[in-house]
Amino acid sequence: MSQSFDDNSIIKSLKTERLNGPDFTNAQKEQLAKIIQEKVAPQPRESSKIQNGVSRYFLIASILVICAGVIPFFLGNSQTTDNPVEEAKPALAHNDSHAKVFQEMVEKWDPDVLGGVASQFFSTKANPYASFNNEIEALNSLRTDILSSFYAEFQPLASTEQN
Amino acid sequence: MSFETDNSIVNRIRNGHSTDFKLLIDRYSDRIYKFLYAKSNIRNDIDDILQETFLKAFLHLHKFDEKYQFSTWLFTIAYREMCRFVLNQKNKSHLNIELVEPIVESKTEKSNSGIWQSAAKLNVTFYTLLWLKYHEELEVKEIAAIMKSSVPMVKVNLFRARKQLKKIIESENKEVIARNEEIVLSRSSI
Repeated sequence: MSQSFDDNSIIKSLKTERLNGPDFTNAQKEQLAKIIQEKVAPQPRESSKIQNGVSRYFLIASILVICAGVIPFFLGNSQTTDNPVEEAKPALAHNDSHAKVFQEMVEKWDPDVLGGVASQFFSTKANPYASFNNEIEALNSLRTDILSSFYAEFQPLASTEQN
Repeated sequence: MSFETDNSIVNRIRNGHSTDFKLLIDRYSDRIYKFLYAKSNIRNDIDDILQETFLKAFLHLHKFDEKYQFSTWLFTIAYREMCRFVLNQKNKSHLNIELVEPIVESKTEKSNSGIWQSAAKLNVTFYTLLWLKYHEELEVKEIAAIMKSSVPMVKVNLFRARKQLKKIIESENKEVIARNEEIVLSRSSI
């Protein structure tokens, strides 16, 4: 090539000069076609049976695992649990000032001690906060020490609500 | 014997005559092979790229739009495969690239014509543009389809590619004596 190049001479060279590399031979073409056919050919019957069998078992096992996780979840929603505090927690997720106070108490207090209180407090599941004052009255029958603690937390709120 | 069009072969393959894919391999493998071969720094992977190109073409033949040329579609796949391999190559360590390139250079000295040997040093996009335009003699519109670009952008990039190629050639000419001396020295030291 010459020492000086302009755009035209480069275009001319690109157009006229051809690659002197090897051709892709017929044998290589045959080989390539064979490889493609092998890669896209369906699997042999036996192995596909095994694969189908394995994937079928895998599918069944997956369904069982999912069911094992999901069914207790739904059952759990329709049945009462042994721990009333735990049972009460979803209800406490409501944006309710009473619920927030009670939730803080639940978190602070010993769940074993509070368990009995919570079970009575949330006995009306449909709307545990609708009859808040009535529930407070119901707590009178409980032990004095728990009741006094409860009132210390809830009395200001109850009085605010009455006002 | 009348010449059977690509679309006719494609339709037969789509209808279940998968062995007819060999006809398309016979028609286009040499062109794709040369396109890949000229880009010397991927030469070690040509067989893999070529295989992947035709395999993908076969597997996605149902997606082929007959309003385009089959060759255009095939070059699109080959271009993407080449980009993928070059990207993988870049991810390899710098040391490995240094070890591979001198071996490739020695092969290209004998097999490539001067201009394409220089063009192989361009990036994949510029190299592909030049190859499709001047070696394959495709229309700019077809090149734009292959490169997923616009016609004006292809024209601009063709100009840039030629400009960059000019710089490469000039740089090679300036350094040719020094390089020859280096090669002689390195060979004598071995």
